[in-house]
Amino acid sequence: MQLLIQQILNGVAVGSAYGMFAMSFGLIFATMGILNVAHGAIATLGAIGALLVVESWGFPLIPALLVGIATAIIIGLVTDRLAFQPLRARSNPLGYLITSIGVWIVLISVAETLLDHQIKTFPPDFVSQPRIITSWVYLAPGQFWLIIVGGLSVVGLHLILSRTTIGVQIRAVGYSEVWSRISGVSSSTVVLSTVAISCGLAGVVGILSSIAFDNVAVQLGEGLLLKGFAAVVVGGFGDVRGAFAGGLIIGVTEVLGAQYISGDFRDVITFGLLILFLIFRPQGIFGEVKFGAIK
Amino acid sequence: MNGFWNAYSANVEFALVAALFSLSAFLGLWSGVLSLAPIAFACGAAFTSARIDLDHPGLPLMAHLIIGMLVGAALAYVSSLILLRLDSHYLALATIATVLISRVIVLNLPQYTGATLGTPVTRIVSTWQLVLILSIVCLVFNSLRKSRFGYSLDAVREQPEVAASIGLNVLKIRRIAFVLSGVVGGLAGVLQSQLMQYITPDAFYVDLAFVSIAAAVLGGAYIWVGAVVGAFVYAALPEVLRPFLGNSKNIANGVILILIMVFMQRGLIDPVAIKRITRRLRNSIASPSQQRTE
Amino acid sequence: MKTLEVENLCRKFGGLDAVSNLSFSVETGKISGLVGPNGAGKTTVLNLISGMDTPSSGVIRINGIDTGNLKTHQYANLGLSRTYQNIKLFKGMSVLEHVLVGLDTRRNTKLWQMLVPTRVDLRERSAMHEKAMELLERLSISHLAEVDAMTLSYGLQRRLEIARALGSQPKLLLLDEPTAGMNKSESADIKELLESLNKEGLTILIVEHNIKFISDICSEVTVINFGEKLRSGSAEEVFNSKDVRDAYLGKERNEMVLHFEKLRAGASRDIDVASFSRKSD
Repeated sequence: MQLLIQQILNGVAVGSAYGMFAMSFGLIFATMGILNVAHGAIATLGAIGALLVVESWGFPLIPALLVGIATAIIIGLVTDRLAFQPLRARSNPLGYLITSIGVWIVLISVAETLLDHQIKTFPPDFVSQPRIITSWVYLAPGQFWLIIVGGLSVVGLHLILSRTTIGVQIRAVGYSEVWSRISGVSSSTVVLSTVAISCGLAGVVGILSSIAFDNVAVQLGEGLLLKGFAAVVVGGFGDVRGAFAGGLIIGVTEVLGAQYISGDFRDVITFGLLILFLIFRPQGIFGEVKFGAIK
Repeated sequence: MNGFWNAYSANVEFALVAALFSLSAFLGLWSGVLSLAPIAFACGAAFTSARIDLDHPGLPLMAHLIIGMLVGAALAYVSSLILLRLDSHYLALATIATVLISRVIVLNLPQYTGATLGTPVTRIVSTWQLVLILSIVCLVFNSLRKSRFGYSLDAVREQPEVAASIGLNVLKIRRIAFVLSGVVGGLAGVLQSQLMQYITPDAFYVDLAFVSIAAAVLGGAYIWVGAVVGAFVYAALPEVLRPFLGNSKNIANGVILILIMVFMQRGLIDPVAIKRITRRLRNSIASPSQQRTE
Repeated sequence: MKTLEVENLCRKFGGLDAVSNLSFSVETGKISGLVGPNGAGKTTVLNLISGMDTPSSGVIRINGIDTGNLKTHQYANLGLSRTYQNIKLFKGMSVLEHVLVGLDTRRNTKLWQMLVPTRVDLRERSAMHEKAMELLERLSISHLAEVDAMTLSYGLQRRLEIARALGSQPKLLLLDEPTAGMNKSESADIKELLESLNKEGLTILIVEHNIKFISDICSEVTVINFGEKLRSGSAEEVFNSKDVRDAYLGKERNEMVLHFEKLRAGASRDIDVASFSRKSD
């Protein structure tokens, strides 16, 4: 029983990472219809940005976090402006995917160069508080923060989208670009905000995950991308809460599956879920069938 | 010439097989479907061929190629039953998922695939056989291009609803294209495995899938020649740019891809643009009194 | 014999009844019209008849065959073809290639015969090429065979759509606003074309806004409004009936027009029906 609870918690921690990434990925997809395969690389580069200032200048946690987030946002905005913006006028969904592949190639190369083709880590005990040790469960600091920040981010993002002006505008554009423009929504403001929120969140996930899982590597971002993508399919694109829930489901299922069925089968379960949902319920548990309107 | 060959023979060989991967990706695009699945079919074909080679060494190349094509076709057929019913966005995502799943399957069947350790493959194909195989495949594509099937594919891609009302069975046509992409993908998988001589679960993964589709689109997604040209350009570019960019050649590939999508979105080889240009050339060569307007 | 029979056709979109209990028919060998103000449901009806949409209830019969369980691509074999309100040509294809696609139902080559240039395939290709040129000749656009279809003028594109539709040798041709955006002489050309096709035995159903065109060419007209049938009959009957004019003009304006007509009593009794068609939004 105690093992079960421990594993569920582990699953929730991992699932928080997947869920946060899923939200950031799903936000872009739901608003702009872009399936951005480079999004994982953005998370990686956010982590690298934070790592660099920690290694070179000994930044403490919060400033490093901010630097990392800023890195991710800047890269996101620049690549959107250079690579995606010019395609927006044409209605060619294929073009976006291919361009995002180009962006992905560039970002991965940059990341590998910055990492000197090694796997690096944050200094040990970089985040040493809080360590939760009770007779029931053990939670490492990295896991703790993933869960907390994850919870905060899903609540925060949901509130932003439903209560703030910009949030409503983002959802309006996601619903229909033409009608939102008629209502006076500036689609460029919306695009900037969406990219900023989405990439900022990706940066947060990248940094926290690399701390929690103790590695900064290109594979980290790619893993988040794939699991995040599965989470969005399982949870649903339209609502960020659904995407986050999808992440939790995938995380918990993965850990429990590895524990009780077989370590090797961990990914089979994840992708099996993915396939099942794609066949039987492509809009996910919480989703409605709606796709991005900004072309 | 010999110097070039010594230095670049491997590149050329990989480019020849890359052209096959690119053509398999192109088949999906030709029917209006964005499908990365051929790489998963290639994976299945490669590991099956490798396994059979381990159990029954000494089989001729032809046998391996046929096995590869059959496995690819079978995998494609079965997955088409599930995938082709999905709407286009989900379909693309689902094909990405098939590639992810193929790797998981490889990892979980150690008896057949060697799991993380991989499987060795004996190379029995020569460079000239590669050229021959690619040429034959190209001939088939060329034959299909202006055939009944070719025009049906064009119609299904451009206006699927209209195509249906003309009498074209869109689902069936897409299924055939899908199975063909499995055949070509299977072929590519077997050949690739022989060039690599050692295949691991990562050998046929999303990176290869992305590069294949990118090459097809870069070269021109509207005609099969584009896929072949795209694959060669994609393979050659890093080498051509190496003196200028050193090891940042990959970045160059990515940048080129972006530039092409922004400025030449129909790719390097675009039949529409070519017709337009040749007409203008013909008109300007003809004397003014002979120039026709439409 | 009726080529087309529509019985109690309904199409609901959530709470909206786009088509409501519509029944009408088209007799073999006739040219029929389907008219109605904007939003009346005309294109929806065409989509239902051509199998591109599924009715919520009701029966559609083409040449006596119930189309309820058919898939879209099976309609061409029933002898049905159509054109579209917004021209839907194939990007990148030439005029000739469009018609070649249209001829698909008349082709027999199988995939394996096309993988290499076999004699069977090549023979069929040249036969189809000939048939396609004949069709283009019929539509007076054979000189444009190699032209990229997207570069054609609007009127010629509409003609090409018809040529493509004729490829399957249909018995029933559905036209969605074939003269939209055309001037008088272009419309007259289309009228001539349709009449000669009809003389050869083609049954035609035209959805149109151009009332004059419809009155000139159709032997029978059905008017719908808000998805329901308003009236069926000859063009003269239908366009002079009060409820049709109410539907187009609005009740008040109709009263006003009738009032002024009475004042003009003694002048020609022929009503210029063209003046009653509402401008398209």
